[in-house]
Amino acid sequence: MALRSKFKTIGKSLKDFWWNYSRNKAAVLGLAVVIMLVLVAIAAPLITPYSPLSVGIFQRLQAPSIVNIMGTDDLGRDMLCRVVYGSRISLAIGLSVALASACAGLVVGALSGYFGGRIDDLIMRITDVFQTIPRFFLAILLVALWGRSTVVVIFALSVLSWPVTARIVRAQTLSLREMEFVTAARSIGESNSHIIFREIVPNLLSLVIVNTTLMIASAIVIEAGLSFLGLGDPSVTSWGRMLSEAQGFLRDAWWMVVFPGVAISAAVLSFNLVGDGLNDAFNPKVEKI
Amino acid sequence: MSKDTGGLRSYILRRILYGALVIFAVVIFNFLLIHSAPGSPAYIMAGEISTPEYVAQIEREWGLDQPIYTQLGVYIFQVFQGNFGHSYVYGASVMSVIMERVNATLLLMISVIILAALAGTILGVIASLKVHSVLDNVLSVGALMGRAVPSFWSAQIVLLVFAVYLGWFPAQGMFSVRVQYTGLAYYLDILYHAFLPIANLSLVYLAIIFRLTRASMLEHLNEDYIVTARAKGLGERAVLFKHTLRNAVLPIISVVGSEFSLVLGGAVVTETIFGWPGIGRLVATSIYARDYPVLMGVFIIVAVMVVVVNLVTDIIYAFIDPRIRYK
Repeated sequence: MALRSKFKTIGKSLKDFWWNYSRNKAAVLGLAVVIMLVLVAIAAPLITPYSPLSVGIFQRLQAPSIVNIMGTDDLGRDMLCRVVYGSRISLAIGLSVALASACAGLVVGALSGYFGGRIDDLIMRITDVFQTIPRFFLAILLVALWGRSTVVVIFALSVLSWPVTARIVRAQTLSLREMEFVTAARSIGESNSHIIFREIVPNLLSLVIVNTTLMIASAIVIEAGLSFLGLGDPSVTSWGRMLSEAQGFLRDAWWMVVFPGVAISAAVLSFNLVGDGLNDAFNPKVEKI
Repeated sequence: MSKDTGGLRSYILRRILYGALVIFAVVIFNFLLIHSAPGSPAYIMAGEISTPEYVAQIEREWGLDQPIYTQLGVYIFQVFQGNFGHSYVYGASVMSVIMERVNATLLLMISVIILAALAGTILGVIASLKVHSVLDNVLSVGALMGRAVPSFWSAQIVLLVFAVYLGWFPAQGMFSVRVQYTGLAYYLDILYHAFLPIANLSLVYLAIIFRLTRASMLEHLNEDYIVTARAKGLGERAVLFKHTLRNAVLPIISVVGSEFSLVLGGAVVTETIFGWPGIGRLVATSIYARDYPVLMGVFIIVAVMVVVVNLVTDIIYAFIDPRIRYK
């Protein structure tokens, strides 16, 4: 009975949340594109019968036609097929980096904000430094030196992103720490770990969810930039690498440039729109300017 | 009065110390990277295209057979003397390889900051005064796109449209190859070649500054002191320029500093696509040549540039808003 009423409350608050979220039409559009992207990435072999790596199936550099909707590249590969398979690596890296940095940033930021003191000072100095250093250049160095593989790219981008999350989580924790419900929990003798993980962290989740969504978008851009510079796994089809291969054929094959770029931009734009929409829906009181 | 300038001086001093900390951290990062990468440190510092004899020479020069603390000491000492190592690929010191190219990048960066800050602020103010008009909506959607479109793709599209199809601007390089210009014509020729790279790099900055200006103007236009100013019978122009803009411009100054490293990152791909002979293209070619000393040297120089820009924006901010000095 208690469980049932709990489900009812969750259902009702989800409904309220959706009502708030769906008022923002751009955010709904963004969500639709994100869902479509995920489906395309999962169902790639069902969408296209070709492999993104098999060379010379078609004539090279063919303009878009009914057979090859996005044309073919310089090695006679179907562009649609490559764009479809390219979504896999972009989403995989975007999601992994965002999740890793959300977890690390949440734990570090909450502990740092709750306990304060020397550790907090140290962590703040570290995040200060990370805010100022040219992060794209550090990512280039990390991948160039540690090896051009997907795992290294994910690791490098996570190392660079967690301080951003930690910083905003800490700021929020500082204000939550002084709230009455935390004082109340402390006064009845709850342990620090209970207060942090049961009282404070649940109140940080909306902030972290918004931040994670925006982080997916920025990880997709940086990953594409790295593959554009030849710093991706050479055996993986990625949008950034497709654009760097297109560089030599700008004059002859506009379709090699246009479609992968549209894919990257659409992915980044829709994750940004979803992030902004979630932010508005979590803070409905703030009047949208 | 004297107390006031003292506050400013200690504020600037603190910012300089912080900048030094960032550069020191970058040097430490480089050292850690040399030692954490697969392969021996000497091999990393020599670059991949080099001979065993050369690697042995590097090992002696940087004390790589010594204990790790000595190595760190030698490394920090050398770097702060301006010795970033030697590029085997270019057959020259890393410092001289970078310095040959740094002016080309500075030309782009300074133009981009000025152009984007001016245009972004003006467009933001216009949009905020005509909020929810057609113009405002077009600009806002444009800014949203500007935030999403990666700079290497926009560079390719800009090149394709304005250089290849329309033929208005040159597609590659910094100078006309066939003609030798002198005097004023020489500089105009460089600007003509720089136009597309500058325009492309400005897009991201422009989008960020526009959004911020618009939001910050809207926030301030409704505040009590503006209402008071209007009630006093102050003209709209005075309200706008003396009161609102002065306050709204503050966050714009700090975002120019905080987003500068993002724009520098965009320079790597933009310079590569337009064949612009700056340090961005140097990074791209060094990645392919696996010339690691150059990559690490550029990382330090770029960090110095970011720190300097942040310092300048911090100081301008402190002059406009005296409150910051006492924080």
